[in-house]
Amino acid sequence: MPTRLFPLIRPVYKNEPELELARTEARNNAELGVVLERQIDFDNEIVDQLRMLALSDARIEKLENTLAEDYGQPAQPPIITAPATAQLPGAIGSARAAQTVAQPDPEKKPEEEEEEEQPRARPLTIFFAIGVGLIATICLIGYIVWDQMNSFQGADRITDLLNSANGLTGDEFEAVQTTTDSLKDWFLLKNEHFTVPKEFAATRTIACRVFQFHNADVGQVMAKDDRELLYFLFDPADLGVQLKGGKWEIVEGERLVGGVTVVEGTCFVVAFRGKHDEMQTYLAKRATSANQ
Amino acid sequence: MSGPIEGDSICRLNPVSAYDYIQALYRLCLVQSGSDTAAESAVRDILVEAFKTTNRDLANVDFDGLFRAAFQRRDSYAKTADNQLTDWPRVLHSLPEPQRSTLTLFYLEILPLAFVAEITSSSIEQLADTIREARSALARARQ
Repeated sequence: MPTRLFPLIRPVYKNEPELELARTEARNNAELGVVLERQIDFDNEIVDQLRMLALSDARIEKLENTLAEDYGQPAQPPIITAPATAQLPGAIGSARAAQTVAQPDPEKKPEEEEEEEQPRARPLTIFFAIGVGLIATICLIGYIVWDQMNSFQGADRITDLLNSANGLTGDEFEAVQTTTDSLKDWFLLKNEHFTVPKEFAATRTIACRVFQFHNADVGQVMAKDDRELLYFLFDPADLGVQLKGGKWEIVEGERLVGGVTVVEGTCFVVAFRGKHDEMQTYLAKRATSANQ
Repeated sequence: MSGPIEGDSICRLNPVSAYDYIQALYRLCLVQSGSDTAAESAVRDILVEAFKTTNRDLANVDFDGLFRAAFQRRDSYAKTADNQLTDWPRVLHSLPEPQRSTLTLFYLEILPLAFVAEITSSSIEQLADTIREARSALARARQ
């Protein structure tokens, strides 16, 4: 009985030979035609909603990659690019379905875009990145603290002072051959009140001068013990130097290395050509000989 | 295309792409399971099986056969409390098997009716009866 097949009638199945009789029956019976129309409308709504369910391109690509990884790359064109081109020989289906995929409904686009999975980093990668960031921050903080511990305010100005001596010829100085301790008197004559650390009191001086450096009066002394030395003496406040009294700091210039200390309101710098370690050894030796 | 539908006795619908088949297969699995994760996983498993059978050659995959595989595993999904479907697909999901899968196959409009009947192990008349009953159940469930 052809009417038994009425439930199967859909426009897409119009060429199904099994339904030919049923369709003819419906065409010839107005009442059946109305029922059929209602049935088709009912089905259309469901079919439309079903078509809204779709794997996003990203998920199809992911699926494709999974297959490629597990079972090798498929020989045929990728599934994701298939809608327009890769129609398989002998494949069957509805033209309407093909159209739906080949020319996607623009209204569906935002939904599909929402569905697209954004690339996400693995938790391990995130933890690794955070770890590296933390370690870098700790190292940076450590370096800053270390740098501050090994430096003092005004160290840059001392470096400039040391570098200012690079171009000296010796003609700038006044010959003053005495001991460093006795230089107090010479400086008094120049209206300066500089104090020299006791460990340098006995050093023989060769020449002295007082010059202006960044608007500060700086006493400069050429001296000699087992090596040629250059002393700088100035009021630490004038050059913005802050250093604990009696503590020695070492500053390196382009050519000279300087040992810096503050004694009774005078900043005293002893300098010679050499490196940080040499100055460290020199100062230690000086301190030892002064205590004996 | 290989598979059991190559006889002249079965009417052919217009050709569709592999992409359409995958999307339709996903819809069927989604309605069956109610979960997009489960559906995606099922699609992958079914494709993997098909690839194995055809020696990894997409051209030789029996795409219609994918739906047979999906129909056969219709009762294998764990009942999910987190049903992600809405509207008609959700009502469709609420139907009992095999009504649910049969009606979904019918609505996917990708396979000839004779092949849907073959997948569901029924004659074309029995298929029509199932569709009619399922459609009525769907309408009732919606009310």
